[in-house]
Amino acid sequence: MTATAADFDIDLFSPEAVADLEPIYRELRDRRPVYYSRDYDTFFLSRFEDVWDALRIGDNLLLATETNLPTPEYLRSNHNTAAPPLASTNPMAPGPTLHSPWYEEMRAAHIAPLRPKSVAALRDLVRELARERLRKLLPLGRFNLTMDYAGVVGVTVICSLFGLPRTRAEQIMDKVNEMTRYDPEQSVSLASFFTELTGDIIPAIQARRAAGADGSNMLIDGLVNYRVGEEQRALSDEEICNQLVCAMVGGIESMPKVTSQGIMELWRRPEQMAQVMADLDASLPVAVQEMIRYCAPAQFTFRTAHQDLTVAGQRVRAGQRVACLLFSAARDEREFHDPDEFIWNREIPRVISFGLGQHHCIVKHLATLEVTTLAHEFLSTVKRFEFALDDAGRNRGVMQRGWTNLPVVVHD
Amino acid sequence: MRVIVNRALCDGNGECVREAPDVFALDDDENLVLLSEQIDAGQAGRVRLAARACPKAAIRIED
Repeated sequence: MTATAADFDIDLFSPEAVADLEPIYRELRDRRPVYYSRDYDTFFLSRFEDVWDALRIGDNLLLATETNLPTPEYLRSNHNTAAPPLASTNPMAPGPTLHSPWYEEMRAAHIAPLRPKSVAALRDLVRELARERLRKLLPLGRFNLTMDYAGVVGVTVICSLFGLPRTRAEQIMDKVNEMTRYDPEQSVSLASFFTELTGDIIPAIQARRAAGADGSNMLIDGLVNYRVGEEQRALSDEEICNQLVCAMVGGIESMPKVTSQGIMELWRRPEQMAQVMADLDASLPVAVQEMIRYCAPAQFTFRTAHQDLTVAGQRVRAGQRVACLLFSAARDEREFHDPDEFIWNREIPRVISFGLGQHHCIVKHLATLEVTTLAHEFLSTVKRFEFALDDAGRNRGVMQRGWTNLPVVVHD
Repeated sequence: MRVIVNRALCDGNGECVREAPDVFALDDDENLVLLSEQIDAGQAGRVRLAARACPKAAIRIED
């Protein structure tokens, strides 16, 4: 069933659409929950239930072989007549494009420090960094809550995990944000992430090799010590770098936007702010779940069908794409009552904002800890503040949408 | 009924432990420990909730 009707032709990558996506998402959910774009040879899923089901499909049926974040230019000029070849394992392709069992092997080799208990052990570090940042920023009276506060803390934690000196932090943050800005003239490609961050990640890998990869940095040591297949091949610096980009970008780009906008949405609703502040320790972790649902910037994630299969009742041929509209799913009225309202203690029985299945966000626990700790430190330290929204700047990126500049004015 | 966990998919998130602590546990290295592969009808409901809660879709039940 293709949406070729003249009254319904949407290019989700167009500047017009990107400028105001919420009504378009609602229209899709209501009228074309499985929207086929002939231009992109892609089925767009906008409803929570369909996104939920599609992302949980495994067995190498739907893979991010063409990356989970292709550009519109790529989608237009690459229509597959059959399933594309699987990603290379020699050299080992960038992590997101891999298939089972290789995707899982690479992920398992570096996930240990990102698991819940290991992340919980970072709480003191995150809190100290937040306090240090506030000591520097509060005397200024006004600063960008997204970048100057949350962004700097986030990238500093990532540097710590990678074993990079803190002096690299701001440069890496600027680079990641430059890469994810919206430019209507030129889409950001995932491939560019890998190229741009190589210069930052490879020194960290080489440092671990020099230290004997003895397990004291399990983000990298596991990959250094990994051996591929029967021939027991070691991975090169470039191959290891290709597995670590997600951990670096994921820990830098989205979390600051959720933190700052989350605080802003509470601030805009004084009654809810008062309820949260009445018992910050107990209430903030609950509010953070709503901050994530409401503010998570990721708009979509793509998969390519490697066999003919049925998704959301739609027949998809091998080679065609399925795009899961995560932000639309998080605002689906079929799953969430009053979805466009920020309600700090609403019931959230199922979380879609971190994705699901094979590519479920690898830094979820770290990001959640950081949002919670950063918000806690700010709200318990700054008694009076307001946001200068007239000066705020949204990065209306095709892929990521969020407030890159949220100026906050602080008092006493 | 049997609980089947795709070990390669399991990240050690622990959502399953929350839903069915009599069936799932995490060891000190946050690796999954399946306390019981065979489950009875009474446990099946909780294990179904655990399967639904697992963000990696790593759990299924077989009759």
